[in-house]
Amino acid sequence: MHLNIIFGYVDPGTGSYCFQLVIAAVTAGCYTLSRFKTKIASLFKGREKNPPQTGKQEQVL
Amino acid sequence: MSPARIQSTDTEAATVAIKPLSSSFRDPNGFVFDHEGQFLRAVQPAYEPHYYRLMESGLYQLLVEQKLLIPHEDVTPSFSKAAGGCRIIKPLQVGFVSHPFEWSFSELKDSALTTLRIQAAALEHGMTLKDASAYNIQFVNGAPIHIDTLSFECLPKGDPAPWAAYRQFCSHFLAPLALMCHTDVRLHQLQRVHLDGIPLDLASKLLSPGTWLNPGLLLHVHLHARSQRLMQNREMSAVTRRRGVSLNALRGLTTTLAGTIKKLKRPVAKEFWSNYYDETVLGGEYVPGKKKIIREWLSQAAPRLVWDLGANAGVFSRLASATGSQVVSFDLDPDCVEMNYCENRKQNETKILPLVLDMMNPSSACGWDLAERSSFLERPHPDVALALALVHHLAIGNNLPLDRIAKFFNRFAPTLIIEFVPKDDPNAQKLLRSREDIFPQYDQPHFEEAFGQYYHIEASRQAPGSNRNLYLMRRRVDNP
Repeated sequence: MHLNIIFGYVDPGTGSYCFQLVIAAVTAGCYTLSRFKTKIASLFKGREKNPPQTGKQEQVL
Repeated sequence: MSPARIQSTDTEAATVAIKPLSSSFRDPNGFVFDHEGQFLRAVQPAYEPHYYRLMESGLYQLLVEQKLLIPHEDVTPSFSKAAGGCRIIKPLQVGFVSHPFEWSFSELKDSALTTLRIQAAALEHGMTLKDASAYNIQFVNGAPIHIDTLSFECLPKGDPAPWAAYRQFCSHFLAPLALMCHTDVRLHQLQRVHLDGIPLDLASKLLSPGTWLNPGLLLHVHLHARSQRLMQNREMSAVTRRRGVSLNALRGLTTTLAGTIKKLKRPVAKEFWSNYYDETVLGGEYVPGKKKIIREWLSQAAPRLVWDLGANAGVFSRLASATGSQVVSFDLDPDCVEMNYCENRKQNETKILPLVLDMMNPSSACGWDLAERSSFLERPHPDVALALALVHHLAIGNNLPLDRIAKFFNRFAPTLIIEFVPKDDPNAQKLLRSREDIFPQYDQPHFEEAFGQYYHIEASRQAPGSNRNLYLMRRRVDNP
């Protein structure tokens, strides 16, 4: 009974929200690193050095 | 949500009650309704700023050009704003709505990556996806596309809040994909029970210990699940609630999720059904001869929509699509559906939708009021159903009487192309090897009698190189 009551009020969204606050530095770092790697790769491949702002993350994806 | 009453200027009727579909109740910003057989979407006035931003920022155009978002036209002028001033949009109509638990690994993976591409593009246009439900993705022309135009909302100025749809994305896409890849492909059926995605704590328990060494799964599944458990009985302070993250953190979240998902590879096929037609115990003329007959009958029937039941890897589905039909290709085996989908993508085949379906337990209506997600039989019925080398599995493999099989087909198939596999067939013998033969009535005369109750047998031919028989049947006008 006690467990059922708790189960009814569990909000997994709160944990996900706070978790993102905790890992924000990690994900931002990953993004910066991936951008850096893309830029280095494009230098070697002789591609354009300054990709357009629009959709720049899509290139990472 | 109470049904809006919006006057249609097209009709002479004073006011047309526009009732949301039974599945359209979660979003306060709008709802989908059926208007003269077309699905339209009403947009509530409160959503206008977000809609305006989507349309004017170039995001809509970009996503539609990249075939990531369903295109729509604004049909508001056809409706007067009698109630609430809703905007009415008419999206491109989806031919056949499928559910995520019916998709193969690669179908779900492509849908996940589509969602992340949309989120990535939205972030660059000052917007974000407010939800990331797998049910927002449908397959149109063989590829996944986002169908919910109202899923976008503006990012606030300054540091944006964390991604509200992060938990939903992980539960709807990442958890089932990780389970299919690392534990067992059949676990995709968990989505049928958990309509709002597989709980992350459950996924974390079911994943093998080795997945703790995968940085993406460690972060987005295992640690994410633990943080949910940790926070479940805690109040979030007002300060925490106001805290935002940087745009780069949101971009990084999308990037790391995409990287994790891209690394998940489809499980190795069992290679039993996948080689069915290559290693068939029947003569070499069987498949080409059967194809010739089916092609001829399909050309005669010229169906708009074909259901291929027990489609295997889609050999005959491709035959049907080559004659110009749209095909929904069902099979019990997730590996066959996976092969079918991958082959279609390779061949740029756009008319076939491969889905996982157990004929003994087809997708039922589910969700709230049993009306949120439609059942197998509630979706558009085919003009022709193909049931090739299927009946012996139902009758012998599952003890289904022939007349019940005929009755079931009669519920959806006006024209039927069906194959009868006799008991002395090598594959039927395999089914009988480990069970007692309790099927005295499983023979051709009884088969024709059972189906004759519902169908006229228009043509019957022996499949070359076998004792199997192929039938072209049309539903009787006077059927029971």
